[in-house]
Amino acid sequence: MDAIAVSGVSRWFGDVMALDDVTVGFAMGRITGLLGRNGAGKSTLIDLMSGRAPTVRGTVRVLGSQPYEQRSVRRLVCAVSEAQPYPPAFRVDTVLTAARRFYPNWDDAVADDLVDAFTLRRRQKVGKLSRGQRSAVGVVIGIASRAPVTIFDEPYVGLDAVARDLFYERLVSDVCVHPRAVVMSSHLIDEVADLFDDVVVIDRGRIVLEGSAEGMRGAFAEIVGPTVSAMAFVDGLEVLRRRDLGGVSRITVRGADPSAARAQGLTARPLSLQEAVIAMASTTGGSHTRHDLPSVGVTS
Amino acid sequence: MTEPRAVFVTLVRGGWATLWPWLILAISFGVNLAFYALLDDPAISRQSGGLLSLFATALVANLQAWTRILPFTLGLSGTRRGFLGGMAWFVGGQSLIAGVALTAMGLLEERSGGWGHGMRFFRTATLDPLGPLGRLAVLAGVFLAVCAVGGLAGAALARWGSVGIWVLSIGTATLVSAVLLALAWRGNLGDVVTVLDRQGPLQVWIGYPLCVTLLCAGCSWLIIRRSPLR
Repeated sequence: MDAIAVSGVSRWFGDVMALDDVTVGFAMGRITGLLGRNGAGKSTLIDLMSGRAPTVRGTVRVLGSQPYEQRSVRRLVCAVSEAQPYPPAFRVDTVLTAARRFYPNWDDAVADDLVDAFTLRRRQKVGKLSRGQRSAVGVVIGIASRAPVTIFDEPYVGLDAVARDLFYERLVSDVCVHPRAVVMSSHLIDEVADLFDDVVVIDRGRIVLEGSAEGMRGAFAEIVGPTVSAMAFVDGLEVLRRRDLGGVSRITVRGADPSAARAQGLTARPLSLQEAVIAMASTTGGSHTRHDLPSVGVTS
Repeated sequence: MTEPRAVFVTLVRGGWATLWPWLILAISFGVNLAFYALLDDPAISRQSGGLLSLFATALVANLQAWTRILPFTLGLSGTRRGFLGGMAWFVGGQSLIAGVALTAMGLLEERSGGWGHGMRFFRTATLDPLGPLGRLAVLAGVFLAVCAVGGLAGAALARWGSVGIWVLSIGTATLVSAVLLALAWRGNLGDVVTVLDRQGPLQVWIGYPLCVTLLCAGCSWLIIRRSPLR
């Protein structure tokens, strides 16, 4: 059973459809990247999955129950967002002590260790913290909560490269020892790609791609060569994007074998996860087609 | 720890919501005492309005508690219902402490001859006929109602921003004015005063504040119940 199961969920804000009939699952014991452009619907989906906002159409089940206003479920879900509101007059240790009261699996030792690692000063008021230090407080809460479902919504805003690396390393090592379902939305796709077991790509309120990160790596390729040859090669394959310049085509395609392309005198290279996401987001402008990759522990 | 208790402890640890109103009251008391000590004209009324500072600040402090602690606890996987439960304990506790403290200070003021200068800071003509328990109940009830009004304003601010506060303030003022004008136009305003007089101070100063409290709490719940606060 998925730790989080979203089924047929739609959500509007006035005339804007933020989520359009979204069905997706997030497995226990895996780290899933929730990727997409600004305004794609990531934060709205996270609000519904974490029980911060009510589901109007469709169903959201977290650990088998709907999460909105259900303390029995909410206490098992820790959602940390980059816009996490902290009372400015609270000190860092006041915030962490409050968090300890809300999460039953809270681990003080982990929190203390992370506070030291991020060089946070416990007596400092949150209102005086830099953007990155506030993000670090959120990261401490997210990891130390040991919540069975942990969601990070762009948690690293303002964190420097060293602190981000520390976050990724501590998250992975903690999840290895204490398995949980982790969902992380991110714009720094290449930086976090190696963390993910699974990937969900959302664009304009629709899930456009979901599957195992491993299956996605190498699933997309860019073929470059004379237009006639390149078009002949990709015939029958799913073309995501094509750009022509002076008789040479650069085609982003799914399911191509780069070595076969090279054998035909074309240039071919597998796309990174970030490039694949960009290609997916670029191609779904009008059609909103849904692409499912072979999934590992992910319900489509 | 239950969620309302967790919210309650978080509110208490917050500090400012509990302490600021009393600090302002202490300053107001000091200023009034100095003023009346310097004043040697016996013809001037010695009734101070400084006590209102406590209620005004308590309103603002409770408004802030809603705008800052509600999103914070929701961010820590709390629920709106849990927040309301914790807030009820917090406001109830504050009101009880306010009732006890102000009654005690009123008795002290009475015994000390108005702090040696005939000042009436903690006493009012309305409360004079009541015994200590009656005064305690009235002061706690009014304090509770003021906190509830602050909470309603905070709920509106948390959900709709400053527009919410303006709409709430203007709407309430318009509604109250319309009711008063309608009563005056029909010639019933005097009847209302007569009814209030007949009801006695305990009914008026405890019953109506409790009604205001329940109305504000209900409206606050309706405002935050399904709002996507973050």
